Amino acid sequence: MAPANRLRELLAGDAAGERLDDAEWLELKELLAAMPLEARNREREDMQEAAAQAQAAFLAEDRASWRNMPGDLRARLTAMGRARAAYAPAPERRTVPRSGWGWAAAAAMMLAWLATTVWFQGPQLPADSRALQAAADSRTLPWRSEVAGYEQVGGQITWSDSLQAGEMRFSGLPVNDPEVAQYQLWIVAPERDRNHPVDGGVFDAPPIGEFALAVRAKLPVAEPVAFAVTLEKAGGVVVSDGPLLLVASEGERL
Amino acid sequence: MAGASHRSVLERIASGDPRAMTDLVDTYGDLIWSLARRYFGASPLAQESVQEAFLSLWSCAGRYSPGRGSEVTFVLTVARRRMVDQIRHEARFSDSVPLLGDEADPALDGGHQLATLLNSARVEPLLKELSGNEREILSLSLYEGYSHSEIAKRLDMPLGTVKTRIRRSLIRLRRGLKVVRGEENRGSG
Repeated sequence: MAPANRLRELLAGDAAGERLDDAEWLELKELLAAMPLEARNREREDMQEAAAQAQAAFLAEDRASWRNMPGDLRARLTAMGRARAAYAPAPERRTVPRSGWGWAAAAAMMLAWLATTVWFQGPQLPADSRALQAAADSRTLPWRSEVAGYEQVGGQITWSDSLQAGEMRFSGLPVNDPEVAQYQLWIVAPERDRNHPVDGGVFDAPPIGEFALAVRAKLPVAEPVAFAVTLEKAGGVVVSDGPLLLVASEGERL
Repeated sequence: MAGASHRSVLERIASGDPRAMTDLVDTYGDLIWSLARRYFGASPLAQESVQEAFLSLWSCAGRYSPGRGSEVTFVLTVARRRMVDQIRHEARFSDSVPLLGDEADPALDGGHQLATLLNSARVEPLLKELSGNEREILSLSLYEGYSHSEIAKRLDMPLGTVKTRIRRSLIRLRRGLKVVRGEENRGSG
């Protein structure tokens, strides 16, 4: 089969939601790597658009399935949108030096956004980040990295066993392309196999320099001794073999 | 959105218009929810995927280029990626999970805005490319969120056949879309 046809077969499988096996995934990466960047992006986007438009075409035919978004979800998204709008200044305003009252205002907006983000990321999370910080068993660990390109990353992770909730803060984390790769958090806890840490959720680094996210642990976690961030294929993986880009471990507690 | 400029909602987000964040929810909320609701049924993943879709759209609005395609296509594509991410990342919910009843999740009032959006996405002619069997398999996969193995079991077909038909049908749709967009002579069609 011609490489272009094989590439489209694999892209079609990926766009349809098929979980490619490791050999196919490697083959897809190699075929894409052999193409110029613009052509690579166009191939991938064309197939994803086809899948998305087909999904919409089925909805267009199935009027009985048209639904109003539930009021609580709409209210939540509207609040999130407002909070993000307050936090992310217009591009023209991004050039203002972060000093004096400008920095104080940005910090205040950051706190508002943090509270909203933590509240809305999942039902198991505390009402705001202050609840997490105030929990008697909360611990905060700074991110460290020895990987080229990540040494400059700042921030920390806070976790509470009693709340089974946490939040991550980052500064300077390189922006990822969510269509290609996403960051994934891993939680190492003593009662679990160290070779199989708990999945803490995938996330993206926005181009805003500093941001915060809620931890979304997939399993209960008790007394974690370390947290790590890897960069995985979009959607994340079940088991990571990638380098640990960032690590936060006991012994470096803030 | 009265008084908004002719720029698309995503362009307004990218330029820092604070109202555009919530305008995006108003414009596309019902569309994305309807897709997620059909894809995930009553699973909490439906709400999670919609939330993730809007987080992604707010973050990547600057990547939308009107010259590349319509805004609704961009929104559909990002929303679908988040749905696929969710289904790959979470344990697949059981087939036995019932859809919510009409009382809990009422049908759309009117639906004019949704009809307009779907018309603007020019999706209706798309499925004419496919045979009845291809449509059924693709609908189960792309629209209803069934895994390939679930489709194989449901239609009593070999898994490999299901996988191949989905891939080839999607490739044909992609080719058809490029023809519609006048890109068939670019050499990659």
